[in-house]
Amino acid sequence: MNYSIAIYGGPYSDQSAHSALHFARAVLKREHSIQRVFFYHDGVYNSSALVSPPQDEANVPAQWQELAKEHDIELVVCIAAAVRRGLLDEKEAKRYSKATHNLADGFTLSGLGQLIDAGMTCDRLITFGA
Amino acid sequence: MILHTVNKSPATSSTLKECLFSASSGDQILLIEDGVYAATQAFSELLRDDLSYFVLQNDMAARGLNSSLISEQWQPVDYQGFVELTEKADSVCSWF
Repeated sequence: MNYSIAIYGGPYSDQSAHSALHFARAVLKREHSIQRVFFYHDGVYNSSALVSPPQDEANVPAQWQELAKEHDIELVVCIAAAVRRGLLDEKEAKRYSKATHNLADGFTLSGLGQLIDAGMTCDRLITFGA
Repeated sequence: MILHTVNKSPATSSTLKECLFSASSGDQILLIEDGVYAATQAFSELLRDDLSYFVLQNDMAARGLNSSLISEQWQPVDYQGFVELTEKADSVCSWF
């Protein structure tokens, strides 16, 4: 089956990004595919390239990057939720005349339509709420 | 059949009550994260007898809950079991 996952919680505020990671690994272990992970609301904080947890703690954003690279998963970040929280890619940084950008490699800013599309085209869409 | 996931404790949130009010006969409920507290005996009176009940054992263990502390209606599953439940359900509804 083809799965997509939506995450509404930040990496260190609640358990949702953690739960979603465990779930994603179990999905892949059962030989399903994951098309897209959509980051919405505070979930957009999972896409910051500047996340720097203590060394003995899990780096949740880095784990998403690794998993996505290994299994060809799209990591899509809601552009409206991201920009208002200060998560910008190079293009948005230029648009808003900001000195720098901080969207981590492997993540893409896009619209809410990508979440609707995942719900319509994938066999399952699982939401991990904050 | 819909799989409903609930991630909030019934002691601090009304999500489980709302879920139980909305679920159709034959649906399945899976408790995750702080939702696992609903599987303790203190909340067994909330449950309907026409639904099936599952609880994520990883999140139980993280909160010091073992099978002796949960009501018999609840069946513990691991993340593989969680995925299996999503395979069998027509769709998944997350309450949070």
